[in-house]
Amino acid sequence: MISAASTSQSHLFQPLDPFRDKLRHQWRAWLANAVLALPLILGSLLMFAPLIWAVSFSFGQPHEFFKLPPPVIPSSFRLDNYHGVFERVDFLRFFLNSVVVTGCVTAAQLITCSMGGYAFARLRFPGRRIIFILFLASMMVPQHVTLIPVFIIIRGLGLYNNLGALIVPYATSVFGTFLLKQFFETIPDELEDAAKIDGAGFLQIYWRVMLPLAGPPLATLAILTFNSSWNNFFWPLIFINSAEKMTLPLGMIYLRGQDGVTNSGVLMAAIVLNLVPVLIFFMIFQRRLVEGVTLSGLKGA
Amino acid sequence: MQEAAITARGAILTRQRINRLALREAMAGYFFILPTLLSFLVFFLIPTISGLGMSLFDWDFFSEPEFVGLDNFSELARDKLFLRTLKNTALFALFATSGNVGLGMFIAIGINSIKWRWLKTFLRTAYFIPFVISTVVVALMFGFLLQESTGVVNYYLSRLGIVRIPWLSSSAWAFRSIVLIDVWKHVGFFTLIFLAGLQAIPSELYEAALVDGAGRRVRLTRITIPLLTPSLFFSLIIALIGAFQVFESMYVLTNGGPGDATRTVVMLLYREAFGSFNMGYAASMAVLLFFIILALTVTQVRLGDRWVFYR
Repeated sequence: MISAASTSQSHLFQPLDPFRDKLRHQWRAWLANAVLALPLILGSLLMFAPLIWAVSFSFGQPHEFFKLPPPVIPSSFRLDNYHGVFERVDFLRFFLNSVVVTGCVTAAQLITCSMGGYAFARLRFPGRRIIFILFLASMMVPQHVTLIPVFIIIRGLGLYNNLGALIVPYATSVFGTFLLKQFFETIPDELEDAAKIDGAGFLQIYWRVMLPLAGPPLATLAILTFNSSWNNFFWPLIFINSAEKMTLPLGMIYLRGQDGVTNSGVLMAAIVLNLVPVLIFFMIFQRRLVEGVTLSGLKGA
Repeated sequence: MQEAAITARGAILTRQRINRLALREAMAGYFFILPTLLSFLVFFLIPTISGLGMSLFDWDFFSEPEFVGLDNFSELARDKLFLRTLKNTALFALFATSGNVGLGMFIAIGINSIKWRWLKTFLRTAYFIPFVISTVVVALMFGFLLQESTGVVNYYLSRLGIVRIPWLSSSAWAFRSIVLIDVWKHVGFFTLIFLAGLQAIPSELYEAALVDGAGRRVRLTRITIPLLTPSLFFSLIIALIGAFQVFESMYVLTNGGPGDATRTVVMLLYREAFGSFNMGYAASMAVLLFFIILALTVTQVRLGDRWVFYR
């Protein structure tokens, strides 16, 4: 009797077997986690599945396309489709054009946006506020309003069907200027004053003091700019009309228009050739890309 | 002495020298903003003003523009095709926005409540991957997978006992497919925004709620969701602005068809400007689109005061 009473009491006030109870508790937490995670994991498979199929079909042969079930792992790794891409279009040219355009746009934005950001954050000049407000307001206007006039200006500058048409209008951005202004405002005055005492001019302060500190926001800007420039389609569609000036997204549409390409393994091979550099880029810069997007909330337009 | 200042070196500055320094600083300021300002003028301000002006003209690009006042706009109001594209765009914006933002929030809350860090990182990465792929590539890929008779998607659906779906060949389904593809591509972006919002919620609030005996659901509806409203507000604005300018996936996948089922305002605008050279008419579409986006954003900001919870 006594022992029974003491047992029930101990059950009330303290665990019978602390170790087992802890184990059970952990097991429960694990289970709750797993139940929660399962639909999310299944959902993430939906994100991967199209990419996996694209890779699979890019190695497949034409007759496999109608084979059911569609093989997830191709029966043989044939490179015919990849040869097909290079036979039909100058894919390397598209790639290099994309590299040139994206490289120039990114480099230019790093310079111009950091210059503008520095001026708006640290220098006083008449009209600073009003110019900055105008800049910000411009982010609201859809690019289609400026489309036709910009088309005329680009033609006037002799940049039609020229890679310059894809670089010059993007050589700077309001968003990047804003991003760097925000950053430069956080730099303590003392650093700038110390440089001034040493006799540094504004150019030297920008170059020697400000830029070396701006690594993280510059990296964020570079990655976001790179991504949106690499994927830009609308602009090339309007300004480029010969195959040797096309960048990758437009080149893909051009390739699709070639004989026997629509919805074929060749198209899938070209898609994979597009995906590989983008996914490598993503792997390397994943963390900073995520940071940048969260920071800016910028939809890659 | 009042008109002078002392520098860090201890040198006394006269007003004249101060003015000279201020002038130098101003000159430097203009120098540093010059590239951005120049680009702003040439590629934004002048084009915007002339774009607004162009909408009042009838112009085929080659002959003299003819001033027609607001005729372009009254023509737009009567243009059945334009109204159709406007309806398509609005419906797309409605469905894509609710899909992206709603699902993004749902996924973010799910990911955030998982305890395992590695799984969190994996899921966040997985959902975000499509965002870095160009819309053109995404559209081409889905065009392949969604083929009616030989597509992979229909094959697996048929295995589940679902009839083959005419993903891209029926008007109703083509529209839905475009929305689904848009959600596939962008949901990870909104997940990130919401994850950032969730991380900003102080954990003391949850601890306090636990002490008060609040359950999972109460914590979700009384803490998480109210404190996520700023992220929700921001996401809705961004998503709507983007959705109203949608173009690429339709251009690549359906070219506006079947019929005009997936033709959007920007697609029509593109065709009018660079296909038929109705520059003035196309410009008036752009202007109208701008005012629609502006009105929607302003309305959202106004309404936002009522439901967004600011700490």
